[in-house]
Amino acid sequence: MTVYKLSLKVMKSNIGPMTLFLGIFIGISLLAASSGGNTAEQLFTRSRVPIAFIAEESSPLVAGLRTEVEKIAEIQPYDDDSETLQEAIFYNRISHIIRIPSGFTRAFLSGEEAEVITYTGQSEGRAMYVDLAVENYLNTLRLYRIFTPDMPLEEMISHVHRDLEQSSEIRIYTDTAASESLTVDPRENYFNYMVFFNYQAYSLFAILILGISSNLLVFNSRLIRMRQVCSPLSSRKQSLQLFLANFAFALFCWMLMNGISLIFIPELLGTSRMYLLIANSFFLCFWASSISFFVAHLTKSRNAISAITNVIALGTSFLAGVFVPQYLLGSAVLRVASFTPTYWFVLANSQIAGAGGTVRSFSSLASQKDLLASFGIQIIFGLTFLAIALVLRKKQALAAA
Amino acid sequence: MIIRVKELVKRYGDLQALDNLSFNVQKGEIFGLLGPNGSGKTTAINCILSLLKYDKGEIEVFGKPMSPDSYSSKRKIGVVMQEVAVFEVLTVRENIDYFCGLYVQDAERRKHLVQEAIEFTGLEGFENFVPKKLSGGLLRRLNIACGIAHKPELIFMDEPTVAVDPQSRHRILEGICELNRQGATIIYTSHYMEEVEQICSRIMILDHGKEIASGSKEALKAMIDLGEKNSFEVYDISDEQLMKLRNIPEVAEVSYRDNMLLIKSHKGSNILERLLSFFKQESLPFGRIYSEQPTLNDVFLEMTGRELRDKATGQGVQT
Repeated sequence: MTVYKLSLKVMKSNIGPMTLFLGIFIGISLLAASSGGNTAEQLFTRSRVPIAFIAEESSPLVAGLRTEVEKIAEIQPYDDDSETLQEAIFYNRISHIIRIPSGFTRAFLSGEEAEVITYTGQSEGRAMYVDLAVENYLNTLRLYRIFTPDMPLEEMISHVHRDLEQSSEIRIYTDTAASESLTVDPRENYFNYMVFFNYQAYSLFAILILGISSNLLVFNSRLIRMRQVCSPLSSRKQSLQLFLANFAFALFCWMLMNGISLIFIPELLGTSRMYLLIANSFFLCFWASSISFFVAHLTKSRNAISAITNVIALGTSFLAGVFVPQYLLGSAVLRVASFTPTYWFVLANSQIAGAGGTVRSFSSLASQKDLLASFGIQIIFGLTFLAIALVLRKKQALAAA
Repeated sequence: MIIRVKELVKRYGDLQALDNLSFNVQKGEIFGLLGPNGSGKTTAINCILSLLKYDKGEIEVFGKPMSPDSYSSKRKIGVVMQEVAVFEVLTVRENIDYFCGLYVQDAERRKHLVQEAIEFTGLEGFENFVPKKLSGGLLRRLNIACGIAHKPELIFMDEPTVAVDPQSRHRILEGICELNRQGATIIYTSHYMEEVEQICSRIMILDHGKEIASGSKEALKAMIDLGEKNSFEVYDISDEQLMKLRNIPEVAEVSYRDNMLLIKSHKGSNILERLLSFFKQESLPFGRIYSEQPTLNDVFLEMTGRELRDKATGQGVQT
């Protein structure tokens, strides 16, 4: 394993710049993961609207209405003074005024037209939410009045409160990754982890192209190749030893990245899909090593390495939805991206992270098949590039003179 | 027979780099390939080592056809390239150890061989230096150490003394002779005819990919008509006196340039005494006198009409 050992030794000589790059890329991934916490669920949170509730009469019905409105609104303590109320609504201290006119309860119970008077400020949208709550309360109570006319009012009101407590969870199901990321189980927020792992398609890929190309630049010198070709160690053995050494470097980077992720994102530990995300990351490590090994044979100078890294790692990351979610990319872009392994890596991450909320539960056979297909395609990419690199290396060895 | 090359043809497009080249190398020889730039020396070596594909011909090394997969033959071959081929990131010892390791797996034996190679090439004290800290001569020695550390039976040395200081050159040439004494067969290419004359037991002169002549240095010199060459430092000589000199039957050629009178004689003639009598008779004053036997450059000049070495720079031209 002479070539293998030397390759590791050359890697060691590059340890300074590589550690720096690794630190930067891990930092970027962690930043991306932490800023990726604004999931759809967190973007829309209920806020309590400040309102004034003026009741010109007092009755269980009015008290019940006040209780219901209080669930969604902050009732401000304003007296029934029109000037004060107008000023409050003008300066946006309250969004809405609900006035219960005198005789409202009697009119409502006798089936006459009973109207709640409302005043809305500039925030009409917020007011609608309050109006909706008022209408819900009154309409539900009206239903009880019609269908259970003998029930005492207090009992009806308690039933209405109980009924309105009920809520339904609404989920939107489609086959796109977008819906999957929107429907994450809030107890296991895989979206953050998915962002972290998605970023590995850039960070790990970039560090491997840099590291492996720098390493092979030493071995790919024409004179060194000539000398090696003259030796009794076959070209195939030399190439395999070189790949193994570079894959060992790749594994080291992969373990470091995932190890650090477990330190900085401890909640990932023990979660149900952690192993699948890490397995997917391992496939990334494999195909990124193969592609880097292939690219390294086309790299002629140290200056070209950073340019090639940017073009390949950044280019495929943009194209395949590492930085911009795949659901925001056009179908034509995604079609092109599907010819890159990065696309299948990102897709597999989405399938793992968002699978819990899809129509086809992750445990379903169809979903497992999709994930296995994504894994399989990545492996095929890795093997293909490795084979091409080995053939290219042999040709270059023979053309050394 | 260690190497048999038969009717080797190598073309680069329209250029015929090797033109039906044939030669044999016997065990224990130092076989010199001598020729000017582009004569095909390196191409011939690269073909023998299977570094280059050739268009026609046969090559056998150690009695077996040579191909890129002839690993058993390659195990017994050492190569010292024209250009220094070492790893910049490794020290002297690590470089030798690595290249030796491609041939010798046993770590203990390799350690011993590496130490021997360091001593053999005089690199003691530089073992832990990286190549960029070495002088040109030491780099060349490292290049040689990397090629011979595994004790090969057959060594190819392609211009190993280019751009080397006289001390290192002397050491390298001594080393080559020592390797040969230890039993190695050596193929040595150079444009330095003095080196080839000094160390090679048999020489082949190449030009335009063709064999011009081959044999021992004595045999090569015997092929030409030129005898000894006498040079006189003369400050004033008339055309009439030059004409008289040319008319001496044993004189083959007379030239006068930069106060130096060069008189070449025909083979077998010893005319120094006769020339001294001529100078006395003509009352022609002279300074220093040099007398030398024909060189391989004279052989090449007579056979091709061209100099083997570039006179303008005084340097040999590389092939």
